Amino acid sequence: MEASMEAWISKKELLQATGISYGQLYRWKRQNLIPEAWFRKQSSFTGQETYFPRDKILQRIAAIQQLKDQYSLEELSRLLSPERTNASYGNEEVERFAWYDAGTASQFERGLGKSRFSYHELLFLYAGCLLVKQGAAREADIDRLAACVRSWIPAMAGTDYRLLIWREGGRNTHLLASGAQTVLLDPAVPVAADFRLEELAKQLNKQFNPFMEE
Amino acid sequence: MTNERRDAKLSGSGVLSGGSYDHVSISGSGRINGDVEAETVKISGSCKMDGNVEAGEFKVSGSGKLEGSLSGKRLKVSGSFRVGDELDVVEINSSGTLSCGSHLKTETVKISGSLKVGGNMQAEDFQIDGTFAIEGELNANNVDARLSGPSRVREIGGESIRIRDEGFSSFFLRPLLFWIRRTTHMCEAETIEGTTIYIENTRARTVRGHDVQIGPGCQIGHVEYTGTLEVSPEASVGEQIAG
Repeated sequence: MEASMEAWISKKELLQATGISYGQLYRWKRQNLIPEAWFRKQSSFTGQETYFPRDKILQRIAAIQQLKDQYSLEELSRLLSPERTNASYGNEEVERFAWYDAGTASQFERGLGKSRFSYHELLFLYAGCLLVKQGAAREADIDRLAACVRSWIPAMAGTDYRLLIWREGGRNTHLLASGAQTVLLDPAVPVAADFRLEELAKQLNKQFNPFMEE
Repeated sequence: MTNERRDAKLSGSGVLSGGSYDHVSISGSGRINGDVEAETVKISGSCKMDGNVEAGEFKVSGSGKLEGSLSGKRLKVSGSFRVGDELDVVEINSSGTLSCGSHLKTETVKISGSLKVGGNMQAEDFQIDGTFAIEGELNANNVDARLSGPSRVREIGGESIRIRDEGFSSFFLRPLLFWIRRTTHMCEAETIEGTTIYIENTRARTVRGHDVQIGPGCQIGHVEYTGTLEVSPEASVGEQIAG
């Protein structure tokens, strides 16, 4: 904790810095606008103190204050923590983005057996489109990826994952590892892509909402 | 729902199997095996359920026991009701005893009697006349507690928090409990944080807020306030920090 003191902010300092009240902070926590995981308890001489990741919480509170009058609560929580909501996304909502590739999207639709995607599925579609644009995946590879996604989704929680793809024998192999794990791969294997889903999620959220942090 | 749903009625004693129903009513003593999805569930008498229930309205008069979780719009209890897992209901009204094994999430909750929560509790408006025991955090916009017996919670956080001591309710026990009263606090908490706080006969390690009133009988280790602080002469506060 000592060494990274600057990266953390206590609840008291946070309220002073932002001018919000205890009531507001607890309200936003109830409404899932601030993730529970950001509240870190530490014992101190006064009992327990709560600390937050400084940059994240300051940006989040600025975003909430800026957006709360324009959006309903539901829209707001979808904008801020999309992975927590049950929202679904159709082509019409994503085809305006530069990365969108219609062919890849229709392969995903076939592979997943649906026309509207969950947030997680959308993340993989995003990754798939990027791969195609980079020339790192052929049509058959995308079918393969969609099949992987279909089997992975039920076991996934959150977005802290790493998607590793390597190309050998003329086809791509896909590996999904939890973000905290160290993956040691044969150094001779030609890695085609190494995505952090958390990063992809940030990029995607930013496109949905230009006011978003990071 | 477009498909036809049925009503299920049970009077006397019997077993009902789970499924999708319009109205479920149990009078007498019943059992429901499996998950239930229904518009209304009414229990008068006693009923044990071993699955999860999703209901628009759930009414218990008598005693009910549910092993799984309950989600829905309204829950009304007169008597006792025990939910083994999570309770996620928009509006809760209970007179008697209500207990929830895991987290409780609601918007408005009115209790007269006792409330037990095994996990965290979250509400917009929480009113209680009686006693509570909440293992985790109570996060509510408005907490209005009138306590008639020892209550505890790990943490309370919200906009407005009022905890008042109504005195022990049991008429017969009153003389006996008179001396206990002086040594026992009505409410025990580790931390209480709110924009406005008024507490009586409460023991807490830390109280933090904007406008804080520490009423009679309180024993607080540490108070932090940003607006005003009032401490009753009958309260003890270890340390006061302004700012």
